[in-house]
Amino acid sequence: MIRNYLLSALRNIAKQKLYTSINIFGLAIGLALCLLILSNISYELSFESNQLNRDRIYRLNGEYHSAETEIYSARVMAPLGSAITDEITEVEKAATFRVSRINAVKIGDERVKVVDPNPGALFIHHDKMIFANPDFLDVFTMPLLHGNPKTVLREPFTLLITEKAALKYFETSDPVGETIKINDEFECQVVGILKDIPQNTQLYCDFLISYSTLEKIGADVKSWDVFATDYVYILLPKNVDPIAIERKLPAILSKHLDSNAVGKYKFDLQPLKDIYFSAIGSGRSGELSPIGVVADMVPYGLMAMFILMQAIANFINLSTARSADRRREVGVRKVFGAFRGQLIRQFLGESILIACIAMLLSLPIYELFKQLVNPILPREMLVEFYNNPLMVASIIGLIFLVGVIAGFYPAFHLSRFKTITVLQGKSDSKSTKSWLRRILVVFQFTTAIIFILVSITIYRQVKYVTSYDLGFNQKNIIVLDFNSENRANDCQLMKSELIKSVNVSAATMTNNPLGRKNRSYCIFYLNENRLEGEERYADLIYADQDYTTFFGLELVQGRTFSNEHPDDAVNGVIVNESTLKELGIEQPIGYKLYTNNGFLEIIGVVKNYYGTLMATGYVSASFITINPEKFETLVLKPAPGNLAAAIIAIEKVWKATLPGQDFKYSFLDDEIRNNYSEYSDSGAIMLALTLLSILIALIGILGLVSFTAEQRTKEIGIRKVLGSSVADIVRLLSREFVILITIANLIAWPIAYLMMNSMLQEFSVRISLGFGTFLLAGSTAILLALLTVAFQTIKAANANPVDSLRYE
Amino acid sequence: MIKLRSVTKAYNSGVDKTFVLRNINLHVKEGEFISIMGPSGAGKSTLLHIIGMLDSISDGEYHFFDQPVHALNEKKRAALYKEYLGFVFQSYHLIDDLTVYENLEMPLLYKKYNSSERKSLVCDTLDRFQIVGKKNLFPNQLSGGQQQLVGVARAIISKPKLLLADEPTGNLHSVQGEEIMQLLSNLNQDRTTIIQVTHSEKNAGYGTRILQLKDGWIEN
Ligand SMILES: Nc1ncnc2c1ncn2[C@@H]1O[C@H](COP(=O)(O)OP(=O)(O)OP(=O)(O)O)[C@@H](O)[C@H]1O
Ligand SMILES: [Mg+2]
Repeated sequence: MIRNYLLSALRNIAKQKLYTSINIFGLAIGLALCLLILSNISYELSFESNQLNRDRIYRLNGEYHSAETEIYSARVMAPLGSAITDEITEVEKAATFRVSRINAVKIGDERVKVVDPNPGALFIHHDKMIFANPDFLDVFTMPLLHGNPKTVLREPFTLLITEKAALKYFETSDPVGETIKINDEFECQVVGILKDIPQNTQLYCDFLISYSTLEKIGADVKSWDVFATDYVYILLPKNVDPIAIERKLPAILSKHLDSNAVGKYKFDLQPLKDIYFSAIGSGRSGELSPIGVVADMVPYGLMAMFILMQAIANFINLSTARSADRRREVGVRKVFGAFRGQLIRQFLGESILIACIAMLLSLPIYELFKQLVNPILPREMLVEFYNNPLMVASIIGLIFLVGVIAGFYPAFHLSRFKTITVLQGKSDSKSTKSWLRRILVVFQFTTAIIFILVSITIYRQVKYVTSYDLGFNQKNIIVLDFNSENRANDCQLMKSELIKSVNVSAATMTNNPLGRKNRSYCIFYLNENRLEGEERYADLIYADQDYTTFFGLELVQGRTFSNEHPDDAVNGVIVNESTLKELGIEQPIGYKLYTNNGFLEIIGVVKNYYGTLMATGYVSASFITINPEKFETLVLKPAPGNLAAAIIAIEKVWKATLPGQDFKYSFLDDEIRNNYSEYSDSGAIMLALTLLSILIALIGILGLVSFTAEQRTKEIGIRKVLGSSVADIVRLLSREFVILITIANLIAWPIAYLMMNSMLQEFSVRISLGFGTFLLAGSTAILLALLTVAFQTIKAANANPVDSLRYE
Repeated sequence: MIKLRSVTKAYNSGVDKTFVLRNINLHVKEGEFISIMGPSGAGKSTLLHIIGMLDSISDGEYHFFDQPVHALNEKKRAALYKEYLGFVFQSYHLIDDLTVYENLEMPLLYKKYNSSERKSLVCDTLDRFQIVGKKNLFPNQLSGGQQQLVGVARAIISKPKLLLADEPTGNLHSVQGEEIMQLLSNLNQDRTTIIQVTHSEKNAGYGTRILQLKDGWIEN
């Protein structure tokens, strides 16, 4: 029976080769996009799945409540972990650890500065080190390739290194016995090699350093009254209620703190499984990164779903259009004993089969998409689906889901035909069928038009911000970064050497050239009392005297930094006009801004400049002050003329001044463009999705038109015999589509407007959403549809009427 | 075998009713070979569909063996015709996507034969109709006569007691038509009851009895 169905299905597909295959292709694209999203979901769900003790590990979260403050933290006081294992018999092990960033390492004489490629991003997941007590390796599953897990992590100044980090820093996979200096602070000996840690864990690190090292380098690891310094993860035996453990904690605390203080603390045990997803919005400080940000993927998930739905709509359309051909089969099967249920099963089976074929085709497309998308993801976010059971289940689920959705209407529609009407060759009423078709066409084009509009907006906005006048010089500016231990010094040296060179016309030192995403900010108060809750934040730029002139910042009041005023280097600050407006300062010169340990005095006001055009949401002001200790970047303006010669000359000076340090430079305008790379990336993704969405919509009407043209061959023939021109006939067949796509426009525009508007809120300067954009998107859709329709109908209209009429 | 008593078939056309069949009384005994004749629009096909239980009657009674067909629900009727009836159509109505073999197998699939039974029945039938060589061809690769041969073979493969044929030779050349009629009369000799609709006096002559239908009345 099933064989019979399959055969008839396969032959049916084969008969409609072209349309079926383009439809299967459309479906495959939609499926591949969904697989991409499912792959991400599976990845997110796989967090900490490598931990064998997953179900028995709990993290100790702490709260502190006093009259002055409230603290919610993912960390607790340092000695609590070991006190728990000592005093609560049920607790087998407790991992106590701190996480730090590796900023620089030095092996032998070679110093490597670890540059965070994505500063401030939510997903920092590299160059981390963990200071961990010996229990750490008992609680967590982190296999050692070399070294004894029972003895490592005991001696101070010893560490375990992952194989990957070993290759990176030591250029060998087994550097046991070697030493490494970390963050210019302390030196450790490598005593073991960790198997590479997968990315889907919050416990990712390059180095696992013995906890005892912390004490030796002067960290406080003993105090009971210093809260929120250490992560404590405890391992409970099966069937021990974590609540029971929580209840025993005050007793432990009271041995070390006075009874008054004990009441201010509260602890709860959070299961390891819940940590990743509940981190966002938990309100706790010190949540480990990365954290599950499902919300970020939701828009992409919706887009993938809509494209898949478009492809499914094509299928429904096509199978209903084709149902005329298959009515006879239904009638015959019924006469020879088929029940309706059997026919429904047959047609559903067919569409599931088609979904199956589409899925097979979508797997290589998915791999291709993955290759394209991986480089622009901030971190690893996709699973290898073939070894992920969730992914395999999703694939099977998708096949059935798509098959049933796509086949449901045709199956019920077809199986409903009355045997007798079919066999007498009478046609069914077709009104419901064509209504469904119209709705689906409108749906497809609404989706496509929204895609077009959003794409255009992203494109225009990125173009707008990249060509926006930022209010400072950015053309032809060379940036040199220094990252040695004596970087401020090196920077000074280079500047004094380079300004002598004929190839350099101007230079300034800073921690942050304008145009780079700023990483420093300061907290200040307008009032000397520094009341809590009245603090303000400002972008802070450390600069030398030449900064404002160098970047062409135009003074509107006061003066710029000058050697004649030694106080400038202590508390002089230059602000811009919008900062004044923001803070409501009317007489700026001499105005004092209070920092936590002093004040800044405004000496000058410059015209507005924009470091970046992203709406930051919290920075309300921007300050420029002098601080030679913070210099790490030298910004140069080459003399007009040969840029290449200038770079060669600069390199020469570098080699002579800083022997042994690598010469690297960049151009400021390149960096500025990179500020918006995230948006140009998502713009590129959107563009690709838009093209796919349009393509699938066009495939849909191509299929529909060819069927109407086929069904109306006779009508077309008669009209031609009666004197219609080809153009008349094209008009006849395309009129309906124009109406439908116009309706789609009217639905799409308001939806797209809301979406575009909310997207633009992320920028501090925005394009205006003119009517022209909407018109452009709408007419593009209509035009493309007309071209598609015309292609088919001209063919139909040009057919010799005698041929078509002869058949009857 | 078949008893029609005052059977009437009417369609509602707007306000009033159009009668297609009026007061039909008909007895058919097992083993008969009846030809229904009459002008176009007389109601021949309608009568055949009613006998074939594909269509319902407006008034009167229809007994098939001892079952009151007019009182049965759709499902019971379907079960009944599944067991006893075979159909042959003027335009063959073979399924285009299935081969000759599969077209023959199709009715058996819906009748709970297991696969080896199906295989032997199909092979027997292919043999009997001398179309073994054509079993892997698709309908559009066959001539009209061959297609109708398959159509008849399909109708009788599950050994129906009653074979209904609506102008089985209507689309065929006379030579091909004669072969099909010969086949039907052979089947009749093997005790299959047959009711056919035909426009040809000659074809009607193969039957044991002729019914003349005119404006929904049986004329004698
Ligand atoms: N569903 C229906 N609704 C209304 N009238 C119908 C319907 N089906 C059939 N008729 C009418 O019933 C009458 C008899 O039709 P039928 O098909 O039985 O004629 P016929 O004798 O088989 O003619 P032909 O020799 O042309 O096949 C015709 O007048 C036809 O218009
Ligand atoms: Mg007829």
